[in-house]
Amino acid sequence: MNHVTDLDLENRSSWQGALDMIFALCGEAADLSFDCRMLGGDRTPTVEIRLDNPAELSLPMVTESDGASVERWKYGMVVLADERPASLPEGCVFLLRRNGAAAVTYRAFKETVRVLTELGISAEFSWSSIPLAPLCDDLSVTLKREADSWRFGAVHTLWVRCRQDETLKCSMKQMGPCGLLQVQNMATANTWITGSVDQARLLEGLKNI
Amino acid sequence: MEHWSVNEAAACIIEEEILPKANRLNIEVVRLKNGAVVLDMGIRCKGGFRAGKYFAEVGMGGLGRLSFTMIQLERCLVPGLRVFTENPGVCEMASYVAATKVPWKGDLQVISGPVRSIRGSDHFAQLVSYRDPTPQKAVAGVQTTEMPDEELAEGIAQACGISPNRLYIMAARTGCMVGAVQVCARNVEQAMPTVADRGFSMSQILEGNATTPLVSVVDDEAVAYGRVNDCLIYGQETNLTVRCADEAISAMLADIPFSKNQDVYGIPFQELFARCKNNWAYVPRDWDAPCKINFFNITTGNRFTTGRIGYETLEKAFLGDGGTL
Repeated sequence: MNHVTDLDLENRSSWQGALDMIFALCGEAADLSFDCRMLGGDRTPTVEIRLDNPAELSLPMVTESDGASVERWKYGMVVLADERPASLPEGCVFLLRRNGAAAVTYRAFKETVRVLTELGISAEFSWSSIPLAPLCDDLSVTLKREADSWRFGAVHTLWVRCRQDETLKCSMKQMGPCGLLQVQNMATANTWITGSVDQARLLEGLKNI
Repeated sequence: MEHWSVNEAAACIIEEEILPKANRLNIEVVRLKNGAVVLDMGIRCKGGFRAGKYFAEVGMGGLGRLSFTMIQLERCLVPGLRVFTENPGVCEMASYVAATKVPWKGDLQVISGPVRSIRGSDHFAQLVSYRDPTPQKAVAGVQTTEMPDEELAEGIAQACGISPNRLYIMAARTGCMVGAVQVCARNVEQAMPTVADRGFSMSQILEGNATTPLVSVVDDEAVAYGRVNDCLIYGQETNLTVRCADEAISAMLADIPFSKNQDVYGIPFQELFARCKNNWAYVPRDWDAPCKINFFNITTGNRFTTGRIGYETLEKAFLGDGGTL
């Protein structure tokens, strides 16, 4: 059955709609909220993504069609476009503007899944806290700010089961920059940390052009 | 005011929100031969954040809300949670507190949850006048490594005064996500018995909210048990809105927090518990104390604070033998 939710192509943007979409894309195995974190004296908004079954998720297959990006997840599809495409894929579909609040929130979720995938060790649970980049009509500016918020401001806390801490540490050392990564090994009761929140570079990245 | 049944509110959350989504909550529902329904939220099942939130909100009889938040310690930014309660005397003392003891497998199992309020027979329930005498359904919470069985259901039913076929039992071990969340959610609760012990009436507490870091979710039950208690005695901060004379607060202020135990302050709870033969019967009452309480006296507008956060111990509980790579 086709079920299309237009988050902000023809409707006004909706923060709650963005969380509802991520909830659906996780197969409802998530607890999601917006929060904020003190950064350089300002309270910067964040999206908080707590996943109960992160191992189920992998990055979507992406196809370009009719000026739109179609991203196929296990539990639904996201179509990013500037205007409503003439035809839409069958299934549970979320329509987003490429440069809207819902898209910024959605791409933060994708970054979460990317980090989970890159670690290469199946996580039992995860919690990603990602600053939301301020929007700009120039999409390239929005995307640059998102990249900086992920790299310098994201905090990923993962719970894994790994018999040897050394295996976990080795995987973590191979990770590219993704903010602060904290992994609690439920088997050994130890938490390992790599990366950091770099407030100065984050603020530099989010400031005026 | 119309009677609020903590049991029926709790059963409503279970029936409308938990049972239909059991699979996605990573929990299992088992009906026992005597009709009691067990929700395995973290014994054989893995549970999760949402299941933990439900365990706490059901346990509070629908009078509390739990949400998650990051908490900044001195050096670490760690997961945490906050609880907002209405009518904390009922929500915590009559409902969420783990206090009723029931015989099980030759020992005593401590029960929490709204079912306690039917008879209100344990010490903490008796500190409030609220009773929920005739609910259609009742709910108990159990922190255990073993699946509740017919014997436990019968024991709870007999102790609390309800037929087992009208009973829900939520169960999780400590060393899982639900176990960690549901214990750390005992943050408003952590403040209540201590002030009650000092003669402060529960009816004077109008509202309560609290935060607790959730520093550790680990498999080892003893380590998990120690660390969730570290979260409470070294990390919980509660705000209580009260109506009383200022003197009623100031008279007990210095005697409340865990930090008054200067001879043991900073020692992880796992070690303290081991000194007490891992038996609560030997734990000094002053060790089961709140970390920090802020009182807001609605009568005078004055604020009183007692206790302090034990950052170093919390960060040790978060890291274990780990650290920065």
